[in-house]
Amino acid sequence: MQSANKHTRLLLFSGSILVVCLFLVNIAVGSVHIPIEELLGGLLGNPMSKLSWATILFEYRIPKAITALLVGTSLALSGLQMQTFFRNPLAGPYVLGISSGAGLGVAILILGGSAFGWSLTGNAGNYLTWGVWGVIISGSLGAITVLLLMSLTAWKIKDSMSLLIIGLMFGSASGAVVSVLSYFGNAEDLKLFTIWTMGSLGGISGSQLYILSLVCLTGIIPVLLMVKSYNAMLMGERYATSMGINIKSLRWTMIISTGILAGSATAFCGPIAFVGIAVPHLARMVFRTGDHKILFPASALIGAAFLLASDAISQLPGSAETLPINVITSLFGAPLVIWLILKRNFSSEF
Amino acid sequence: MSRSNSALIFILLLAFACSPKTSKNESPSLKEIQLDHAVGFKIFQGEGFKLIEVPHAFPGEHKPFSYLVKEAKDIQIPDKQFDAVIDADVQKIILTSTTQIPHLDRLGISDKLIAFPNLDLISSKKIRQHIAKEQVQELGGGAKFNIEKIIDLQPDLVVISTLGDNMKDLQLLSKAHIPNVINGDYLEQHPLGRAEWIKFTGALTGQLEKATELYNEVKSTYENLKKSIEMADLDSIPSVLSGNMYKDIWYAPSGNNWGAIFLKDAGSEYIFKEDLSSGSLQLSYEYVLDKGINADVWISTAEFTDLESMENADHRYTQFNAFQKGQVYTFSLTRGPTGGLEYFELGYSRPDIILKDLIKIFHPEQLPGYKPYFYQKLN
Repeated sequence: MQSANKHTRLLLFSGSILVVCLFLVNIAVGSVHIPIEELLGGLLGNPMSKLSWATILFEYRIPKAITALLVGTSLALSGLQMQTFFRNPLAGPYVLGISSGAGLGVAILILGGSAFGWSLTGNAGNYLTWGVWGVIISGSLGAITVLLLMSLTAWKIKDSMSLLIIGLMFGSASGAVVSVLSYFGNAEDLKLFTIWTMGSLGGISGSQLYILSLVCLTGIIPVLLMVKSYNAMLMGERYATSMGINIKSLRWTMIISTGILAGSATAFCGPIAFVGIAVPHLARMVFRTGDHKILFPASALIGAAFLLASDAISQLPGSAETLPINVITSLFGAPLVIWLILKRNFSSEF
Repeated sequence: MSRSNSALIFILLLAFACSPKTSKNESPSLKEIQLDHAVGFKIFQGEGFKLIEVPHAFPGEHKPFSYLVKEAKDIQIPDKQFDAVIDADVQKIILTSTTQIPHLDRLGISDKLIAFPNLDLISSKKIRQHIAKEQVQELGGGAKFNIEKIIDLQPDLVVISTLGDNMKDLQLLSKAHIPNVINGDYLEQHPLGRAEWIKFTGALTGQLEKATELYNEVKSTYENLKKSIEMADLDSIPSVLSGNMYKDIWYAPSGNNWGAIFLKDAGSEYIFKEDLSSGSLQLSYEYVLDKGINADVWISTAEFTDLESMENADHRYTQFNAFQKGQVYTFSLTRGPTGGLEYFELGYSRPDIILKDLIKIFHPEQLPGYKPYFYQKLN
């Protein structure tokens, strides 16, 4: 962090404080009103006056807030890596078909049985037998498959525009198979799958949350090792090579890292829109830099804050209903991306 | 009177002269046959024909559909006034919803079914025998039925359940002179209202009397059961949680819907009885947990087979007392030989069985020796 000046450090510190505050806001709001003194008492280990409050706080809200923190960070970091690697301001897990790949994996698991009698669970019964893990594993496999295909293509094609088109094609092809499965699937399975596509931060707890944390941290390690290389990549592959950067290993690092980060986020929580694409731009705008030493922590902080805030809004505090997280991220994310495209000269940074 | 006023009056008179004659309902020769609970259709008796009106064929606003059933060969009725004209002596029927399958069984006309979309969904023993003999054609297992095949089969009657999204297909059938009618049984809120749609099928097939008898049997059983619970000296009124979670959204029957009426009539206290909306409720987990953590019984609406798979699907289910005490029941274990859920086939026609099952769950002492038909406890 030596290159960061005082202003940047202050910004990063403020960002960290903001994330902590939003984390607390996130666990303080929800459909059920829990008085603030009860909430703080509960956090400090005092018994809460209603059993359901304690359950809501510890079994639901806190795991959900941690999930938002992890997934927001993961998606923002994977988006930033992709934008730099493909040198394309619109790259991200959504655009490059990773989410569609995960969707295809989950669709085969959930809809495959009722549509065509395909069963990933063998004779163990239907997808319900595997529960949450089935969705996580099949989503991961789908995401990794598409990412591998994309990276193979990336080696052949240097032009980022062509790559983007190919990514969209992978997405469309996955989408078409999903449509066929949806068309033939039964109503119950279709409902389950459709709601999965709307994203969800809740319901990840216990061992799943440990695994998600572990996987996300594993995905972040390669990023930390390659910060300098990413800075060089912005100037183009030739320049990076002349700087002594090993492009081959950087490619693999990027593929492994984004695959783990975006793939696990999508597999655990469904495709969450716009975080991966909008947050890195937001980080560049706020911190006014192209230096990845700053952009990585900045994107992580903004990604976490964005998703924590979106989740708090999606809970519609005080009402019995709740909205899917994607509704909120898209409502905020879409205008942001449009505004960025209208306002900014992307080519200066890519 | 000015010239412009005269012109206006002339135009008005002309408009009245061109307006259609009195509506069919007001015709003195038509006599409405009173229905009991159903609000989605009306039946009128004419001379040698029955007129069926369906004001609620699918959700949302739409013009009422009117169908004419000819009960005699020689009556002359202008076709264009009706959405379909059917001969009561139908020989070839196509249905698109399992909820109407029991109508054919109970009216003794199962052999008239010639095609159905996704045959595997059918559980009825009689119709499964016809399927085994290849007397019932498959109309495709997709979200849309195969319209070409329907036209090719030339049925005398097609009964369709729709959300209103495939009116083009119905127009196509009408162009092909295939009488098609819409059954909106799923919109009825009262259990007996849904059961009464057997009269709709009865009226279409010249069997209204028999259908009325069958309905009255179901109604009297249902009402006797309901009354017995009202009069009984019950040990306690269990509180009931219903529905299931899909990711973060909990879907449950609203307090005034079909599922909730059963819970009330079976002598239980439904925790969402105050939450009224059309259709199902979409609630947050927090809200449901706060209201339902101590509920005595949980009537699940998803296709789980045991508590373990429920826990695997969503760990948050385990927070509920009903789950911890193993008081979770579901209708999804009674399946036909090809995997179709019987509840979704027979349930609409036989609300008395559903009520009896639920009474057995909530007040087992009231029905000693009775074994629930649809519902089973998850272990």
